Amino acid sequence: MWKTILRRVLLMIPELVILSVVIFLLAKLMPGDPFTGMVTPQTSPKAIEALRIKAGVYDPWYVQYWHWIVRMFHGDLGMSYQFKTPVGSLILSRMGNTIWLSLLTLILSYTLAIPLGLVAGRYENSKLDKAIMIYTFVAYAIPAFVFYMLGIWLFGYKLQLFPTSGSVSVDAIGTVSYLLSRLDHMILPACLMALLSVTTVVQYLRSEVIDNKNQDYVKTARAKGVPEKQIFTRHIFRNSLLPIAAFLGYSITGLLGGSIFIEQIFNYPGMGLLFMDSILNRDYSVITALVLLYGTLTLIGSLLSDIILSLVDPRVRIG
Amino acid sequence: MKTKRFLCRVATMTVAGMLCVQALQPLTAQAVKFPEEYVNHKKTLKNATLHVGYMSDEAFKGVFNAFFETDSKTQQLSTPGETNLFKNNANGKYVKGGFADVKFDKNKQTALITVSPKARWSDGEPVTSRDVAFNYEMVANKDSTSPYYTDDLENIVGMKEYHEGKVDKISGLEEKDSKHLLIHFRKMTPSIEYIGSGYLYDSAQPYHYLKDVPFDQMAQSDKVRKHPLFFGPYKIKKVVEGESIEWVPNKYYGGPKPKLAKIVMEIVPSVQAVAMMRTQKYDILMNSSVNVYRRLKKDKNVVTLGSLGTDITYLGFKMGRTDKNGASVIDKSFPMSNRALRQAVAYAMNVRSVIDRFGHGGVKWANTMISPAYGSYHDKNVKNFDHNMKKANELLDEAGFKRGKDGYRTLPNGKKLVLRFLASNDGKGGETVRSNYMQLWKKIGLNVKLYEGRALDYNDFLEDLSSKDDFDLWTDSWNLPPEPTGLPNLAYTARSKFNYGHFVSKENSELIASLNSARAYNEKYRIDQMHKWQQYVRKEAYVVPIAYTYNLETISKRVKGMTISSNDKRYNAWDNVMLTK
Repeated sequence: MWKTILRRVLLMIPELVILSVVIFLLAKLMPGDPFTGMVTPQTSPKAIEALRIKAGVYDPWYVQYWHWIVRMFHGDLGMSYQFKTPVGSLILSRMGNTIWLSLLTLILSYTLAIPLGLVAGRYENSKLDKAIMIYTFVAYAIPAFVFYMLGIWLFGYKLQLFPTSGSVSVDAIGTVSYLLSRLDHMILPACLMALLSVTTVVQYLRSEVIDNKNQDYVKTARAKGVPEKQIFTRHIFRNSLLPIAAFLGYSITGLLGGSIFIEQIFNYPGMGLLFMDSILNRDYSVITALVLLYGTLTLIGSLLSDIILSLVDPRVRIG
Repeated sequence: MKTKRFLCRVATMTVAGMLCVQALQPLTAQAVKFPEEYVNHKKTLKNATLHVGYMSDEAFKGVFNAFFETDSKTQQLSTPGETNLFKNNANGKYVKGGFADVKFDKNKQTALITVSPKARWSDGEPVTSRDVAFNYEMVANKDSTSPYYTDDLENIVGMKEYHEGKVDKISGLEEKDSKHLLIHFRKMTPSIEYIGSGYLYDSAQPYHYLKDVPFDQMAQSDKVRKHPLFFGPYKIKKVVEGESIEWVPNKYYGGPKPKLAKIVMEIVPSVQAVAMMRTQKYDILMNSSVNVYRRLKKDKNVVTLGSLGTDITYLGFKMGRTDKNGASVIDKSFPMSNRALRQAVAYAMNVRSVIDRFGHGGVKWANTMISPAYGSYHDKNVKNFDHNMKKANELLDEAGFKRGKDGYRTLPNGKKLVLRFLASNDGKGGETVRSNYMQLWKKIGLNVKLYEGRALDYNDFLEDLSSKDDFDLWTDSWNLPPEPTGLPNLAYTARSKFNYGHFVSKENSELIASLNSARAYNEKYRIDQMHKWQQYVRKEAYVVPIAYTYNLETISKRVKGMTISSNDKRYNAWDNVMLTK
């Protein structure tokens, strides 16, 4: 397996090179540049032009690309034109917010989805199963935006249980107070996201459980007199988790992606909001760095999923 | 809240976007008169914390220095600390009584700035003449990343040489002592006596605090982003990047003692703004909008303040191109070079109805390119282009634009006439208003098509506007500097890079030149010439003013001492803001 992993990692190198060229060219094809929005009656076109030249906007694409790659290997992702700060530190500052929120969402989501999927599968066509299915259909159908707003209205305004915007209170002083404030700001968006994102896992798990219930190994176990509870927890559960495990790699790398919707509605400054801001403001250096990061994460996610799958199911061997 | 800063970004959007149109929503015409001040007689709370929301769906960028910041959110959020050095009257002219006074000597071409001993930084250090001179070094140093260096600054003796890195010091800045700075100009014009002239800065930078920060590192330094100094009523205690700012009183402030114990400012997503104000989470909502006003106008706990800004939304016409020397010239082959056609296009537009129906009181029909916010410089007697289809048709008939069999008019030389309308994509509302105008133009026989067949992404729009000549008309808006002659000088001279329409005429050039001639030191003459220019623009219709915008702030009725008037006489309007029960 190690040989295969090494081969996959080596294969990622040309993939990343191609990805970086495509990203770079697409970013350059976007209309305008980071200085377009700076044209005002109070700025001199000459000064803006000088900044453009300084930033190498007029260099041939391959020259710009080469500079970008060389700097990147030196750990320099460039400067953000909008935030006036190094892209690396900008992404790192947002990454923390996103990772914590996504991690909490992931934990809540799986904590909720696995029991729901198992119960629905085990008690197929029961009232409980129908209730769970109705919930998943509603959650799947409801626009995320509407659901989040309803959550804010109910838990934020009516019940006033949680803050509805930002990632931390400005007057949180001291480590404990700071951490509690961060947690307080994360609970509502994480719960709302988790409630919506359980759908896929519940549905997959339920259908896997239903499929597995009729498999020969289950029949054999029953014939041998294994208690029903044990059949579900030890046999069916493990086999039903296979497709979920296949997602896990992507879910882990997806932690860094952030959610544009939730971050915008809650004004939660994470990677999603940064990505959106950068696109709107043509902040090339941030856009290219983020897309490359997302691309790399996708490739790693795919590899991780395969590895996890092979660990969970010894029958599967990647190669 | 009053902001007198002149390094503001351009607010560029089309009229439709600005009108915040709720498409298809029926409304009757209604005039809204926003108060500029809220009078509250209730008892003031001691040690109160004021919560301020800033409506935006983007994080603020957080560079607390006007010479490096290009983000209007940060600029507005820094107003409790950022304070102007000079005072000015309703026309924008400097008057005595600020944290510094300026005295001009027209013969010697100098300006003597005297800094008041009352002006002190929030670390207790006095504001000095060095701090005022540091403004210019910050923007002009060859290593500086500031986008605000302009040719106008080269009016200061030695500025060009310093900017090019040939010398280490700007020879025209003479620090007489710690409180007096004498600035020598190559050429001084009357605009220098007004806020926002572009070559006399109305601010100071803490040299003692920032002198060790390299100019190319300034925008990213913690001294500018996390712990900036101000000489205004409040200083920053803490910043949560992109999210919130905590302000506390600056005990060294030279004006009246600030009345609040703390101001907490936060970014509020636009979808939450109304609910936040209803639940009284915030006392003030900055960057409010007409939509917020409409939804909250029946709420007994809040009031929306509004003051007319200097922004102008306009319809522009492409009438020519730049010649090989970079000067604008009119090209008769451009259809819009015909005055009758421009006037007909303007008369066909039902701007009044659009504003009445969709503006909700947040915009005002513009009669000239100079907003009433410029005081006496605005000519209220200039007539609007009132919707008049008969007149529009007559103008076109008289000018020889004959109707063809298909109902569309041809050029006077018989060639087909198709006008290309450059538009930016500003949502469904914008589309509705745009379609309305295009239908009206069709009714007078003008075949108007969208440039590239669609409304463009805004960056694309800007790029085409500044670099292409193959369209005929467009709508856009300018957020202008407070100096009243800024617009004609910046956008309508033959040499201006912003003269996108390329209109030039002897009379136009003479009128614009007269605004800053030696004679224009006489303000009455300057105002008269400005009125004449506005009348000339109306006559030639080389640009058609559409709307002025109100700057709105929604406040809770707990707030006391709040004004957003640009005529406020305080050093900084935040020093009088209080909170009541």
